[in-house]
Amino acid sequence: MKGKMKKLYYYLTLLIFLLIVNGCSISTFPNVQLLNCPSNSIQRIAVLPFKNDTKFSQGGDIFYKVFSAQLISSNWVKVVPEGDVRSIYRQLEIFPGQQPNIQQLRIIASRLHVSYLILGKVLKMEEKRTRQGEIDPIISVSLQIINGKTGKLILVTHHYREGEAYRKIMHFGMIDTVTKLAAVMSHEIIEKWERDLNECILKD
Amino acid sequence: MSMNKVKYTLVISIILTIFLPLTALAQSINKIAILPIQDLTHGANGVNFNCTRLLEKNLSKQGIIVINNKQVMASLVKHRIRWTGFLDSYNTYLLGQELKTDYILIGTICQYSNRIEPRVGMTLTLLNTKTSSSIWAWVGSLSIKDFIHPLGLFEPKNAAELLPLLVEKAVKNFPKRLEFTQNVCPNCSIRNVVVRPRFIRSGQDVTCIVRVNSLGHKIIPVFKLQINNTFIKLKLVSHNEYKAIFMGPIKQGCFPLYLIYRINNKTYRIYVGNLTVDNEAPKVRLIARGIHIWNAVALKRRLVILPRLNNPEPISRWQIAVCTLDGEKILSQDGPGPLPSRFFWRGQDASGAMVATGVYKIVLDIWDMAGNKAEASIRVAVIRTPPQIKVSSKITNNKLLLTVKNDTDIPLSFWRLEVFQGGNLLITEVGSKLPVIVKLSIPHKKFTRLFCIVTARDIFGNITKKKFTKTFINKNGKINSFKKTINSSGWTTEF
Repeated sequence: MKGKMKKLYYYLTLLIFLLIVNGCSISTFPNVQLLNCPSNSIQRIAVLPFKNDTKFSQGGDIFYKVFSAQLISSNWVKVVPEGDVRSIYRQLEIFPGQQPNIQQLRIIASRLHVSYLILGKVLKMEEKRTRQGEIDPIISVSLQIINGKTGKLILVTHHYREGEAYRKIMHFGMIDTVTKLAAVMSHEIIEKWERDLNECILKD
Repeated sequence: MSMNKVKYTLVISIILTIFLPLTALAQSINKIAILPIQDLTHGANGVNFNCTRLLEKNLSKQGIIVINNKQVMASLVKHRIRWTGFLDSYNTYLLGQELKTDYILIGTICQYSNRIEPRVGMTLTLLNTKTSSSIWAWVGSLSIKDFIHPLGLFEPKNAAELLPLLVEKAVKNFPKRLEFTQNVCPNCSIRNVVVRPRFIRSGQDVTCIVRVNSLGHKIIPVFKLQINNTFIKLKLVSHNEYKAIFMGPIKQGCFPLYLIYRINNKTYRIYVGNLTVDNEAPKVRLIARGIHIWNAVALKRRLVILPRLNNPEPISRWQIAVCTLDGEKILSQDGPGPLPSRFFWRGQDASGAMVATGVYKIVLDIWDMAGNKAEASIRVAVIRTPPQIKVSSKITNNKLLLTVKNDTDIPLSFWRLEVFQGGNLLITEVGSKLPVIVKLSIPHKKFTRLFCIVTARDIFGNITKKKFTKTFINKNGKINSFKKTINSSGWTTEF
């Protein structure tokens, strides 16, 4: 009888532990909408400068730099150097904060010898101060992959995250810098893109 | 036995063919150039030399030869590289050649703040100068919260103390050996492609200029421009410039332009934009809402003019002018680029003075991107004369009949008649249409002095105000008017 009770306690403790762990883990993923499946896997891609729709100084550039670095280190695709993209922007007279039109996107893709382009917009970037006096960074981004030859949208992604969401216990796990949060979010987005696009190409 | 030998040889040769090139491309990093680290906290052009020095110091400790900072700066100046944090393929190749290194490290400080919680954030990218590609990247950040010690010892206090720790962390993650696929930089060769003009009329000349980066090609590259099925060869005009002047297509339409070039026995075809042939002037019209008078739209306080294109298309420039019917220009304005959504005219000329009563013409000229001109005009009536109000009086059966008339044909928006006697208001009449007859009883006194005010405003806002006094004498029960004074502006003096 005692042995049975012990087992029951053991299972109950295990169940509670699993529930806590599950509750603490982050279940929300970036919202990715796949609109057109690419005909073959993406080999080389160009990341175009992100638009900053926030009051955070250089918010667009910060997320752009972090996202590009994460994309390079992911080894999923080859990334066109930022300098080449900026050089074509200068030639086409696309000023900072401006987004290229369809014809300019086609020219950029062709000149950079890429089939796909990543466009992005930082919708929210701020460092909120919590009641405990900690910094809780918040980032919201909207990214798109478009076909540089046709101008068709391949996928649209929206991602929103707060540093607090990664807290495990006490202050452990909590992200308290915008750079780190941007890196984690970029990693999540790239991982999801890779999985979704591979699945879609395999299906076709 | 001989068959086995053949098999073995075949298998070994296959293995060697597959793996030898890959192993050859795996390289250890022994020499590196570090470009000044960009600092976004000081704007897009900010530079952090302290971080650059820390990276140099830490990488040197790892046994990597770091090219002298002065040498790097001299190369940046020589090649007029005015920015940090990124580098284009051609400049990566050039710096690699000049500094005799296969690797260039670029980076950006994303965060550097001492506010509330000191924190720093950084990204680093390693470029290969032979392939002009990014081969490694790292993102890292540190905040004071990452160094909480139970006794509060050795904790960094500010961002300046955090930065060396972040650099140390970055260097720990720095690759010792890199494997990469060898590919010639595809977009190193072309520096710039210019096609002018992009919008033409049939048969107009078009210039195409291609500027190339001198990558030391032994074979001179061949450049051709493709429009539809026509190929135009570009001629070498200087050491790095190819040019062609050709007649544009006769047929109207939008033609994609492709640049075909052959470098190092490889042919590339790139899209360089569209060439639009347009012979038709855009159709434009002007819309102005208001009251129509004298076959024109009447100006009230201001006139809103809306230009509308029947088939919207890009506009290169526009000009709007206000002219008299004789063609004399009294006001004009022009501008480049898109057509404004609306224009306003307040009835003023170029000097700011109000124009006189009359009919004017507002003319809008627009030019499309190919230079085709279109014109639209609208007639505007300006009325500055106030309503001509006339008041006449008649006495019948001891009653005063006041007749108020408007001598102009411009409708009134309102009129108002007020009659006073010794400070007391006797009657107030309001209306919008004239003529009108107002009846008034005169008190039976020996002398009666009446004071009248008539105000009228026409539909264009012109106001007239008339004031007059009139004295009546009651002689044996019969009232006669004695004297009257009518003044159209200002108060009358006693008669």
